[in-house]
Amino acid sequence: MTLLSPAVDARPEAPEARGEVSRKVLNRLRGGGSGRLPLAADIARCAPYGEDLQLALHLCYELHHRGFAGVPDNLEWDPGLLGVRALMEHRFESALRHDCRHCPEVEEALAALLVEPVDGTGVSRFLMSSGELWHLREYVALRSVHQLREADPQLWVIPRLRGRAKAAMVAVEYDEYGSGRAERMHSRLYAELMADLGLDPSYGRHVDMAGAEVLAASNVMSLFGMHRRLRGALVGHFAVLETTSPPAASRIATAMRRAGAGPAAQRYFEEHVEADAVHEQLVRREVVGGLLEDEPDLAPDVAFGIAAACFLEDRIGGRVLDAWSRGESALRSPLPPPSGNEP
Amino acid sequence: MEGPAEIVMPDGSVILCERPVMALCTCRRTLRAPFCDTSHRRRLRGGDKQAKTASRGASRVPRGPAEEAETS
Ligand code: FES
Ligand SMILES: [Fe+2]
Ligand SMILES: [Fe+2]
Repeated sequence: MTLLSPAVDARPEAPEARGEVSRKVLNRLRGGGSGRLPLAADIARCAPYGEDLQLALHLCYELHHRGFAGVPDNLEWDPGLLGVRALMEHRFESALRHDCRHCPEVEEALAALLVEPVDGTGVSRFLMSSGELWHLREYVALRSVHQLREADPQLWVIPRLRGRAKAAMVAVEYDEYGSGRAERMHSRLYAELMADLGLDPSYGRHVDMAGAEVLAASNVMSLFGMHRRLRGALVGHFAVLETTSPPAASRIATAMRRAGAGPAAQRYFEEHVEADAVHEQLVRREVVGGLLEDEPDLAPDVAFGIAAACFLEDRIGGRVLDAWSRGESALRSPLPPPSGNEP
Repeated sequence: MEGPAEIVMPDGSVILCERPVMALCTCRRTLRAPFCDTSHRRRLRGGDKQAKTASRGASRVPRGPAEEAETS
């Protein structure tokens, strides 16, 4: 088994700015709360899915997850930053609502996700058919932005659910966290997978390399998780993750085996074939079903969450496959060469 | 069904499942017997695109729907 260095649990270094808004947010963090905040006009000029706004949102959300090295913990509740975050969230959510305005109803949307296209074209199919080791390493590095805190943003919804939905959500999350065994926690399995591929498994290490599409897909979980108002959207979003995961994980497990990745690399994806086949059932029937029985008025929000997850994931797939089809890297900056995983 | 449980396979071997909730395959198509691996799902050629694109609710779909999100 792979040994993880203590650095895995340290607070990450803050990433580099990607524009005016993220630069000002970073200055505020580095100045311990004294820097000048971005203005509403700065934020209004940002593209809602663009690099600058998505990185700035990531910075704000990370204060609620792990924080950053050298940034005081009390900035999590800095009123200035919270105000800026609200403006950015409004921009992000409005764009998503607009792009998902024609979304189908919950049942139709979930039924569509349960159909496996024979001739699909997603990233996992590319990896299975022609993925080389460097593709796999890039893919795993990109996904690490979220997977190293797998299940965390979804946990925030639990106090806002009741009855069946709450019980089932806890059951799924308990499994994500290793059912009481730290060594089985999915985020831990992910870190071991990274080490197997010679990637640095430290939290936040690959954020600078990840484009806005990856940040947006991760930010949307924090957006849905932190607002009670958006509990329906969180549940819909989570249903997409659990439903689409098993077939994709099985393809990636095959790709890992073929590329000669180590046992931990295969284990992570194999675990997810089996685990998410269960999670999908629980989330669809009990969490979505239970929530809509309890609060039928949330159906449009659940449908929105489903559509938003699909929309943002498609954007990642588009950017990654575009780059790979040109033989280019899908990252913003190159990965360091594989490192040995022995200390 | 609820775990943990010991599952006796047709050949007499015993598999221990420590998962608190598990899904046993009842369609016989799984590659990970005795557990469900979602091989039971309906497969569609081409025609599914419409349904899937609909589920995405998005006018801008890059190159046909990506079938996966993050693992979860
Ligand atoms: S029931 Fe057989 S694979 Fe799911
Ligand atoms: Fe899961
Ligand atoms: Fe998981």
